[in-house]
Amino acid sequence: MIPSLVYIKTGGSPPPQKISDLTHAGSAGIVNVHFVDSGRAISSRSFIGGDRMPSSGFAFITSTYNPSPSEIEFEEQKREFKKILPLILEQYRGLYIAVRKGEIVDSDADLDMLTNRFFTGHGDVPVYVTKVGEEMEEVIDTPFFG
Amino acid sequence: MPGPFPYQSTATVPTSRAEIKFGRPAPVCDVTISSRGNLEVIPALLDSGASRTFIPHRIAVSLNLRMIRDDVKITVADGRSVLRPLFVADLTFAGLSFRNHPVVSIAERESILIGRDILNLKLTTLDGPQLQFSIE
Repeated sequence: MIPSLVYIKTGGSPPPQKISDLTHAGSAGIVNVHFVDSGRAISSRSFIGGDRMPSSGFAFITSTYNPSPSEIEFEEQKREFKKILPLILEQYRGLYIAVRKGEIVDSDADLDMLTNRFFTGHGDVPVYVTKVGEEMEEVIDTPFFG
Repeated sequence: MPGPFPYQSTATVPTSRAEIKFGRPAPVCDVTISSRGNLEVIPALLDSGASRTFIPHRIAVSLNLRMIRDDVKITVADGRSVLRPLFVADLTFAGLSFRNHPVVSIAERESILIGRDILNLKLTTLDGPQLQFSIE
């Protein structure tokens, strides 16, 4: 779905740059990147300094801002999650997992059960939640989404 | 049994006084969304077309909701997909409470969509002729 050539365009209309040049922009905070294909937005994602950029896709930097403490905490948990070995993750394939400080602290087939149990037990602390081996996806079938 | 609650064609966001139009009368009620001692009351539409509950992104920011995922794929009616963040919040409406509940934020709305993540847990009765609903 994402094109093979990779450029970013900063702000309004400067010349496109290779996306690998984006890494320096992330050092100031979070960068919101919109991926477009044939002029049509196909996805968006936030990156933070030090994150690896995708190796493909057209992207436009739309804004940079200083992340909130909560966002910084989240990004730390996300980075720690990426250090977990695939062999360990494989044991949880198909399940939602809660990852804190790089450790899988809970898992469940039901996302709502997992989050309620995690926050009831741990309190309001940073955590990264994902589904192992599958994309987390939701659907809005009503046609009023902008 | 909570309800019956009257259908509404419009609703007002208490904090901004913004008016939300739903067209034909719809199952709408006020939801209190809270986190870390902060709360806001927002009109919500019961929407069986939504697989999850969606909240306005500005609420996630103003209430400083805890983010637990930043790239949930949302597929909309016309087939487009966007990546949106997932937060945790406490929701209270129609006498029901859902603590530490995952909600997706979207920028394009002023109201909440109560999706099947909640509706599938309850018996919801839509009484169209009487323009009222109940949920238990």
